[in-house]
Amino acid sequence: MRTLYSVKGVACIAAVAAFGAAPTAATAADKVSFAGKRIEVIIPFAPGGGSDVYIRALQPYLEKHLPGNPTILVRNVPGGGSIPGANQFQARAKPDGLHAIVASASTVANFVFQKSKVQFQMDKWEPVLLSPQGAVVYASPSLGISGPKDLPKLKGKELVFGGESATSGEMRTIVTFELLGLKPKFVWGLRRGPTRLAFERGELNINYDSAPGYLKNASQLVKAGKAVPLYALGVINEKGDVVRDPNFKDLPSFPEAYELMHGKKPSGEGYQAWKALLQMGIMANKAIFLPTGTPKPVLDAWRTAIKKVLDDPEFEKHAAAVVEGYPQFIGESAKPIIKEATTLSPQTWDWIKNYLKTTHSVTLQ
Amino acid sequence: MAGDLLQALLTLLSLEHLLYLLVGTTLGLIVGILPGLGGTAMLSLLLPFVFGKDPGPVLAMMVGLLAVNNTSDTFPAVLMGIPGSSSSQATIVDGFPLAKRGEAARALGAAFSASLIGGLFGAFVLTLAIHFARPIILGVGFGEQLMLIILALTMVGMLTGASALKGLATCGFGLLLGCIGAAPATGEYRIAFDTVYLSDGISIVIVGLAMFAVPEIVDILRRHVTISSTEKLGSGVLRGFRETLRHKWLVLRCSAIGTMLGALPGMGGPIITWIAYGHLVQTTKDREMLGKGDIRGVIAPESANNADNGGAMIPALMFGIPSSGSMAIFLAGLILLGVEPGIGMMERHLDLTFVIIWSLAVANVLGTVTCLVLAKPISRLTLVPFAMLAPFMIVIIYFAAYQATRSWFDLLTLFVLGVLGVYMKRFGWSPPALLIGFVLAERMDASVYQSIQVYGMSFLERGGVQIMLALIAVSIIIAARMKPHREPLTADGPYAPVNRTPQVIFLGVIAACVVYVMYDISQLAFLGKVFPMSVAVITLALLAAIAVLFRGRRPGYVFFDGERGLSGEDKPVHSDLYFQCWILALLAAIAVFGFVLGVFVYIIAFLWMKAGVRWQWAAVGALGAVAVLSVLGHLLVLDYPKGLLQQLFELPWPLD
Repeated sequence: MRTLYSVKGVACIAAVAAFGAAPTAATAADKVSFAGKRIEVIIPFAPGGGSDVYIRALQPYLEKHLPGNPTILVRNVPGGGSIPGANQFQARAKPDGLHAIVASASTVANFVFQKSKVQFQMDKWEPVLLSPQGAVVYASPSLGISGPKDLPKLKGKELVFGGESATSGEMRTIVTFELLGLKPKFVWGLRRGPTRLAFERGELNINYDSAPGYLKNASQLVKAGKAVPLYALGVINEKGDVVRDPNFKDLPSFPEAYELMHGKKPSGEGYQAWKALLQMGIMANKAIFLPTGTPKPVLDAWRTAIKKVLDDPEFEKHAAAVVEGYPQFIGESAKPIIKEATTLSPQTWDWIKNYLKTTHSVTLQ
Repeated sequence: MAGDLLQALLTLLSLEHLLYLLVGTTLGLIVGILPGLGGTAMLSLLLPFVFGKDPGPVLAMMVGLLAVNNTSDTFPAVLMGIPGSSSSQATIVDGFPLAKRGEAARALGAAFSASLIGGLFGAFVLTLAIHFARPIILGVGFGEQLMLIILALTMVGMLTGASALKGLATCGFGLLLGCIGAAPATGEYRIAFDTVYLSDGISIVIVGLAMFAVPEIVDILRRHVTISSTEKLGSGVLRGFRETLRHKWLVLRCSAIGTMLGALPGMGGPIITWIAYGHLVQTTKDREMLGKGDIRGVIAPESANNADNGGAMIPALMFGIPSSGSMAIFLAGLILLGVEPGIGMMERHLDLTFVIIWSLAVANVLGTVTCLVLAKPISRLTLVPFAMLAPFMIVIIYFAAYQATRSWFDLLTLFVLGVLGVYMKRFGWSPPALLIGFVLAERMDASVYQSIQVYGMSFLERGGVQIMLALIAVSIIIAARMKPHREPLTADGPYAPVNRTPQVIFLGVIAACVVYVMYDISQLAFLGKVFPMSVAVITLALLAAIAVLFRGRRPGYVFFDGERGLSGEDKPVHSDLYFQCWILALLAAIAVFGFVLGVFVYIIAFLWMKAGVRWQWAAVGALGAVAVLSVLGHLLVLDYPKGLLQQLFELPWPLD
């Protein structure tokens, strides 16, 4: 199977799910102006990472479309899995529209799993834009597979998977292995780039990449016949169902992969836990927030501006690659996703704790 | 191929391209002079422009910035002993002693010319090697990576100082320091005291500042009037240049080391420069001056650290794997332009690849030549009364430390490790040994575990691993046979067993830290603690051996107290605690007034009380520092540590 996945073909950006953007909002927002102001956006990560590139791509267009054309300053507060940056935002940011933060999947994950170190209330922040980002699992053709239909052949094979750690963003992927009944050997302490390299060297034989990493790099391995895509994790639609990733329409979503493997639809606590992880890791992958208590006109000004940015043909031409053809959630429409990503049911908690304990000997606090 | 080369050459030589390259280079040099900033902050500011209409010039600027990332940081390293970036730490070992002898210009001349040749050599090798690089890099698996790390670790054998035992123990301590943070195998936090700050480990820039800059500042303040011990700047830039040419084989060897290791993902600048320095010590016979101001000690790491820039392009362009923050931003820029690094980069964008490599070389020439021209005038800084420079330097190192994670903890960590650095220097524990351990710890822990996890013990059967094992054996044999050049033992010199209480206390503190580490990690899962626990046990054994030798009655190299050599007129007026208190005073001023205002107050107080400057002029100096900090903060979107004052009142920029 040799399929080309083109981003340009998937112009989903226009499909903005704007439930909350009421028509009256624009008029109230008209009175807000940031003329001559400096807006500070905190990036709780080092320069050059995904979140950093995301906001720097949006930055010139936000400056253009925010009322009064303010200057946007991007301030990196790196380290600590984004906890220090988010804590700082919580403590210092004033709800005046001049302070914003970009959170990522790891901010969400740490908010949920590192409660003792977290001093921020992400679930109470006001979302401006939420940008999902998918992920694709692929394996080595040396395992005797040529496409997703060969998934069942992986059972009992000696799989080796590398990643950062069992409790990091890899959880959304390694839980799929568990549910598929695959038991890879795990090699931790590796970031995405090095895992791809180790995969190419043949030291790892099953791997995944987030959409940008896959489109830019791993897809070339696929073209060269060195990797076989198995499934994309998928995205969650308005009804709460997991459906195919719009960037990888030809690949099964994880629930389909599950069916290929087990011959039935996924269900049960494990699957519910995975869906929660999908909300955290895929749907809430990148988001721009304003502080709690930001007045409605200011919120509306931001949300209107971001809508204009996404519709701006210039943006679409030069920088839309950062949102990678996923549906974008503006304002209120992002709230249900953030709620689900940040609150785990007791059953889900127990399942995840038990999984980490039994499979990875890691105890969650 | 030839067509691509020609096309690349035409692009390279177009006026527009050169112009933007020059702009990028200039910006890079300016930002690079300030310790701690590096090119990353500047590069990320350029990124939004890539998303605009005309990204070509931005890319040229980015290459210019990247190329001189490790060029101008040589100024603070050589002139003031401040490692501006982790890649300039090895340069200090001989560069700063040269400056203290009044030969700053010569050292800078040699450093920049070595950088120049290293950079050009890197570009040349890349042009030829880029076609074979892919399979070579793919041949370096987890096992080979582990062996490379161990090979790097054996370099510590060359850098132990007078007492091999103490050097090895220091290296062990450095390894433990590097284990702070998440364990690679289990993600468990080690020695993090349940804080977020330590969960990432300590920044290498802070450790470098603490090991090199702080002890030197304290020492010079106590003992010298100016950095340079002579009033004449002596032989100059050209002499340094000639010396680089005379040691051309050393330059080529170290450039080759820089390019090759730079191409391997995960090695990184600091490891590479220490390997280059260790290589120099291994291959020279006359080691008398090494560490005390040997020009070759500047040439070796400097030729490696610029060549490394070119090498690092290989994993970036051919695998899409950035080796540093700056490279990540550059890659992000490329990708947004529609260039997709990775397999087939050579087929799809051969001309662009060459444009990038050669632009690096051209920018490198522009950068190093500029620095060479500036070397002589800037060297005069070493003639300024040190008490006038010191407050600015103290501010600069705390500014640099704060760039690590922009947290108050950065300042505190620098202070605590700085105290360690001061006493390590006083009692003869080798700072380079600690740094080598520190730099390698995390990589070593990870690759031991990863190699065994993937291969079991069978990784030892791989050809590459066996070749590396042979190299490691050679390196250890050389280290074991090496007789370091040591001063003679005398009954009243620094090696005499007189008044050994301070040394014993220091040894006890180090041992207590190691024991604490063992206690802290004892509860972790096996894979989380096996590496630090092994290191801790070995280190403790070494410390115990030192303790036994401490009972000896005759002078020995295991003893050392820098204070013992000083008597009569040499004896400084102030104890080493005195100026550490002065450093602490800066933290106090920041805690009360915030950074900008605190710096203002501090510089005035220091200049007035310690340098005898009239308060009006002190205020002018302090205002200058405030102006620079404010402008930088504004342009590069930095924020500064806040104090009590900012907690209580809303202050206008730049005091906020």
